Amino acid sequence: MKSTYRPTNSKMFTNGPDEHVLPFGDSSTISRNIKSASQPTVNCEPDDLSSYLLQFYKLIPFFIFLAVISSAGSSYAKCREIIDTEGRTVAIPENIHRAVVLSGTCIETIYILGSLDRVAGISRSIIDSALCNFIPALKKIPVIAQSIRNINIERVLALKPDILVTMGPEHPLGMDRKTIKRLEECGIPVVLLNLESLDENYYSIELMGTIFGNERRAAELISHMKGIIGDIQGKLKKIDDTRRIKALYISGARPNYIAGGYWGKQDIRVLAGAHNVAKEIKLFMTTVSFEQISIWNPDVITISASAKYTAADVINDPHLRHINAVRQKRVYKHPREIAGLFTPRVPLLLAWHTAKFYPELMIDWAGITDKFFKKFYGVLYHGPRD
Amino acid sequence: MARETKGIVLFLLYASPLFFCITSVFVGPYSLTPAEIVDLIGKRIICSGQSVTEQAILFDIRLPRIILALLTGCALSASSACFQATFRNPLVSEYILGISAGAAFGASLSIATLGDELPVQLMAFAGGIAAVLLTYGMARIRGETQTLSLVLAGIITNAIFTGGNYIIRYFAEPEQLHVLIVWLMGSFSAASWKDISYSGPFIIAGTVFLYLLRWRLNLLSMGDEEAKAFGINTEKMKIVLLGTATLVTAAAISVVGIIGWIGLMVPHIVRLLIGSDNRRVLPASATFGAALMLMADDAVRMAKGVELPVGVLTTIIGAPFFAYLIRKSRGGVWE
Repeated sequence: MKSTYRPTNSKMFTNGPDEHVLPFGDSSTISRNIKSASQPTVNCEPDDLSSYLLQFYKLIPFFIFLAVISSAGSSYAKCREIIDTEGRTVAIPENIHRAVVLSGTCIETIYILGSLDRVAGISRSIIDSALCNFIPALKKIPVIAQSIRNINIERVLALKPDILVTMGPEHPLGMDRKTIKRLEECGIPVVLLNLESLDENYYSIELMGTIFGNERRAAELISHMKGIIGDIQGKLKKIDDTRRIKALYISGARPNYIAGGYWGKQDIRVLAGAHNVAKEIKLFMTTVSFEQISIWNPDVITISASAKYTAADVINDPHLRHINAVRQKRVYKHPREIAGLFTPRVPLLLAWHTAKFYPELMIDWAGITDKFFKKFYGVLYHGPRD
Repeated sequence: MARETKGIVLFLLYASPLFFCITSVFVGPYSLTPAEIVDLIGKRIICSGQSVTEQAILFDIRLPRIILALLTGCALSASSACFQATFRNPLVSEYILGISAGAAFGASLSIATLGDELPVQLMAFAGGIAAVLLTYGMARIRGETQTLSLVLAGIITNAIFTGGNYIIRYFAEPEQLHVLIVWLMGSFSAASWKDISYSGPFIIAGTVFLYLLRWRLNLLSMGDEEAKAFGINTEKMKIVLLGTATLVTAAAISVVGIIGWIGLMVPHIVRLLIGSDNRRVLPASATFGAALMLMADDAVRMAKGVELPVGVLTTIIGAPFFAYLIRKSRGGVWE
């Protein structure tokens, strides 16, 4: 029994009955991968029982019999294929009982899908994030790696996972190819999910729904997210181009450590209707001189939740006192609870940004956040509300 | 070198900071013409507050940066000249006693783990001083501190703090890691009057103190036995000189991060130009170091957009330049 996962509830994934194009990345590679996966030769490792199942289909009943008598719950008994955000076709067991999840953006979705009990190991960086404030159960999951870049393969193998979910080499902070290859050689299917745009976010949620067998909840989450974002985008239409504000995002130890033009494939500030003044700098984060910030002269400054200074520090910084944003006191720090980028909470972050950029649109980001937290995390939102 | 030429060279070395200080005011990505700058200074003097942006760029961004670069260059070079004379070893730089490793450890601790409670500057300063105390404690045997045991203890301290630093880096979040790496490269990009008020008093007082003791460096550089013969308590003198130089260095790097090569290179260049009399080497190193540091910072400051940490530039340019000097002086620089 074998099936290829095809996202269904989104028009953008299907151009025709046989052609699947993802809305992001190099779609030609992705289609190529998908096409090659639909050929009779299967992309499974030679020692993988599933490939033998296909090639010796006549022996299927015998193998099923063997599988049933040897171990009733063997995960190799059934296999299906999914396509991750790097366009790789990955064969995964039909039922996932033990997953190792190294990416914080995915663990949240798994929690919302009610499948956190099936996560066997996570990375320290997930524990260290604000997620634990509203998903305390995360603290009970064994930590098996410091971060995606530092994993001990033996510790992963010791957990006997059915699947490993992480960010891949196409992401600046993702896992390297060598480690992925070694994990796969050890028989662990590796699903790479890089969430750098809204579409990748929706796709990964849908995929998680399929992997953990809760498509209904996944669809509910996506439709709620799309509802919030659609609402905001509708309101943003009232802002014409001449009124668009100039925004700068800062972080680190000093306020001249800024985010450049590369912040995922979609810039949340641009989504919230602003111009990113630093878009010419094709870097994730970098240091610029205060004179450069003076040249940009942003109208609003947003600060990362992890920055070592507060909005008040920036407003009182003599280097910046002449900047528009500081003069008008339009400097805001991300609330930790909704920070992070393309997580299921991205609509909340977008609502927060839009509310700060265009107060005249009267977007009640705290109300939206309250509702979202109650509905999907089962807890109240306790972060700042101003 | 003829007496007059030497006098001119010495004058140029002493006057260099002033020259670069004036030219640096006109350098920066935000274009300000000389006329505008003169106008701004004039307005500042008669207190007529106009054109907030230009005022801020000149007085809150450019000037503190220029002054901090001068102070840092002066601190690193003067303390290095002092270390090299005390240790009677030209390979010694301001980091020999473990100051840089200690400061880096303190800064890492603050950036990666402690959050907002303890500022980076304070932790880096404390780390640098703690490292030197450790080195000195290890090297002091039966009330005496041999130069060799100080160097060895310095190497051990360096290793201990570098190891600690690696552990912190390993466990740091990617974003914090980046901040940490940028700090370790040293930069004046966020220089402020507050930074100057932290480090300035230590640097100025320390350098003046070293200047007053400059002739004793000549005695110490002859060796412990000879210095004792002149009636100098070498043990006490070493503590005073190394303690002051440490304080000066730690004050500088705790604010700007670690900037390599300036400290090692400047006393060498000065000695090549004016000979090895510490009475002149120390002040000339202080002024020329300040000028060189400022020049290096001007180079990175001119760039629009992304700014390279100045420590990267001093290392990239400094190392080959040093090699060139050695070749040119036919190894004389080692003597």
